[in-house]
Amino acid sequence: MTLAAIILAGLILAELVALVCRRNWVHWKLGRRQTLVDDAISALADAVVAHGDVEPPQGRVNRRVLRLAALELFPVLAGSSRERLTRLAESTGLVHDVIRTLQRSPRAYARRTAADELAEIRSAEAAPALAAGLEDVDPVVRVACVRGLAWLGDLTELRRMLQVLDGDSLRAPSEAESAMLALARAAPESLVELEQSGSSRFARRLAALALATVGDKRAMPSVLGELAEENVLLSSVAVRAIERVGGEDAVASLEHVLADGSRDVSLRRQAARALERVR
Amino acid sequence: MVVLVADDSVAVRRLLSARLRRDGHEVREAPDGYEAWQAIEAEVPDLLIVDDVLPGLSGVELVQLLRTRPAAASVRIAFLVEYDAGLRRAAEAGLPGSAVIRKPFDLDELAL
Repeated sequence: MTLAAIILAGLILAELVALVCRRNWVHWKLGRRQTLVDDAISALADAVVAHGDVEPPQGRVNRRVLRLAALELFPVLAGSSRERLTRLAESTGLVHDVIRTLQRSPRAYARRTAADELAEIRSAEAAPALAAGLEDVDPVVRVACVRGLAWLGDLTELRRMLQVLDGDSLRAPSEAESAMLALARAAPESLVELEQSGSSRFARRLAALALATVGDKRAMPSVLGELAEENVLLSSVAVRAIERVGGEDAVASLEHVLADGSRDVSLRRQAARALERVR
Repeated sequence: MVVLVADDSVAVRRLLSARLRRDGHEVREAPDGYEAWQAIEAEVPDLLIVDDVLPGLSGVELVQLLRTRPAAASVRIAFLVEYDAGLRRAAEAGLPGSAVIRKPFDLDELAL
């Protein structure tokens, strides 16, 4: 009995020591990685400003570090400086690494992340891989690839992109929302077609909201229908979209919401603020 | 010119710092409102570039605090904003002479 108790206590102690060691190791690893990422951010920022180059990183850790650094910089940049960062991502092999993950990883999550990253990097080198990704077995990867191609402005596979959005939007709603927003700018006619003749109600709704968000008046009939929704989240999205489109119909519909005492108070306040801006 | 860049994003700080240093300015960086205030107390900058949703003291709070110091009356301010709400906050704060830099930005088009 005593021996069993000693062994049990020993096992518990060993487990606690292992936990503490693992925790410290993870802290050390994350801290060290963050320092490396910060240094890589500085190197890339200097290269973008100076129109310079960055040495291609050697080894798996350094490639990963450069990838993380670049992905922190992309969302902050626009215009020609962003394009220079894209060229750096190509010349350092980063784009190639991410394409390989999209093409070869057996894990759906890794392929989803790779498709998201390629959408963020916006390199023309990634277009064939993104087009192939439209046939991925995972619906989130397929929609993320639509978004990547739309942000890139590559509409070669537009017909297939619309099919993916129609069929998979409900399974990847946030990716579909941003993909449609990109298409509303790059190919508004195609989105009008989806909004009017898509087989999925959810996809048609997202298409209408995306068109309205970029101020396309053709979405107004559908968005006005959304405004009648009792679900406040949906109707508040519709208020924002109507505000973007503007015009007489927008004023009339917002006044109607404001005057309807049965509608949610926060929605009526939102409608009042939208009216101030639309009038 | 001494410039203080206050933003919780390392990427934003490094990009703006690289651009400002290229133009020959001295740059200090702060990741939150409190460190930004400490940096201001140590040395009043000529230009403060500040994120409007800075952790700790917000950008607007930091600038309002700055304006209570007579020595800092001439500091130029540029707010970094990402959304329309940020533009409204900067405008509502009624801070005269402040400029706005919208994120994402093109380094080639920034007039600093």
